[in-house]
Amino acid sequence: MKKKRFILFVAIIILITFTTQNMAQEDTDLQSQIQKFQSGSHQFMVTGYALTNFIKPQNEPSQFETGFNPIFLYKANDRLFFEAEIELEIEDGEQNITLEYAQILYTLNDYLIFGAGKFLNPANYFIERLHPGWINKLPTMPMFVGHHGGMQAAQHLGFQLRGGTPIKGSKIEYAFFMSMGPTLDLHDGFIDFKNYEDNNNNKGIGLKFGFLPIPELTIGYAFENATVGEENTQFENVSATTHVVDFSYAKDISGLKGTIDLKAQVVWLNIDNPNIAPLTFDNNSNGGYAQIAFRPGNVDNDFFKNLEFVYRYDWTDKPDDAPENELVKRSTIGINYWLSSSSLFKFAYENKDTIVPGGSTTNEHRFVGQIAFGF
Amino acid sequence: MKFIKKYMVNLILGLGFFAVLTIVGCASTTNIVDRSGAQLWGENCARCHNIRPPQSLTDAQWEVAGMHMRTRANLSGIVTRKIIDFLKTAN
Repeated sequence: MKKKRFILFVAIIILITFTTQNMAQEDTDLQSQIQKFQSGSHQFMVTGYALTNFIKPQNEPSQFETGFNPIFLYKANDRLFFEAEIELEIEDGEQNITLEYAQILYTLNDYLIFGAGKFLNPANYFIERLHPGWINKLPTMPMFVGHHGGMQAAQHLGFQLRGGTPIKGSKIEYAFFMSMGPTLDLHDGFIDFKNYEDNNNNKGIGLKFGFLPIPELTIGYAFENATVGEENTQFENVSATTHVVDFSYAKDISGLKGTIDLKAQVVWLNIDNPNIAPLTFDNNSNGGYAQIAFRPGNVDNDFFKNLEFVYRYDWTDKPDDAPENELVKRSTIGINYWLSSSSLFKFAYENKDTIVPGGSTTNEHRFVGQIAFGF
Repeated sequence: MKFIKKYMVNLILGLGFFAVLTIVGCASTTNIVDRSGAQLWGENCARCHNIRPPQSLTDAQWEVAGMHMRTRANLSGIVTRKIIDFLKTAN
């Protein structure tokens, strides 16, 4: 009996020892696999932002809207990189899924990066730098941004070369891009920037130049040109040219115990007049915005240091003789409350005047609330 | 008249633009490449958004986010590397 117990005891000890050794071996294998993964050059990351709006127009039912924009980043090595953003939103009573951008980037040298795919328009400072919900200081975007009837493209499908070079204490930025270019809408003379199938062999080109004489200040100029008329039609030579000026100034001012942030962008869009019905008018539009924000982030009071006050004026001015000729001017005043460095509540009140031919003015105003979260 | 007025406005805006550049350009301080990673982090990130604390991402994530922001903000290679090195040190 004692012998049997002894054999059983030894067997258990051997089993435990063997299992523990196996587990330790598996543990080591797992750790080495994790270490191998961690020390690998391939790195993947998901970031992005989310937001929810509450909108109360003047004479219409109030609405909720929501959106979620995951951003996928993949670094293969120090030169090769991929980035993509998908927008999922419920807006204007519809659910939309949009590929905001997806591009492969290759770093040529310290001062030049090549990118190909769908990318944010380098000539559109607001869209490229400021549009994410947790960065945009108001719940809405300036009106000149829009796929149809807007003044400037939000994205391009093509390739770009871009970079920045320090010059002593200042810096220059540059970007050149070639893309499908927008298309001409013969009904109203506007151009459609959402061009996934080109109507001619001409490709749009653009150039962006920025100068930062001091770190707080950016002054930019951009130019875009594309043939927008359809090939083998009377409009095949119609082209559109855009000139853009942008301005950015953000500085912590100790005397004001806070940060002042100024932003502005003006766009001039000139489309050739072919003098063929229905496009028999000078098709020149302009639009833009100017914005000032102040956050008293250096005051002692915990509540007031998280507040931010914002004012934006934006407008779009369509051609005088166009079928949909109108001048729209909007003023928006907003108060934000920051919950963290990348999440905030926004409360904004808009007042919009639409002036149509003959001088009659329509006034609309609405309240927009938003919670935005960048992660 | 409208044509002349438009180009006069553009001319004045253009001259003002170059005047501002000349004045502030002369006042430029330390060479950018000589600045510390911490200073470059504050200057470049705060231009568009609130700066995120170094602890908010891991070292590996800062490497990826840094490459993303390099493209978006047209940062040069040396500036990007200095910012990432600072964030990893402060993390």
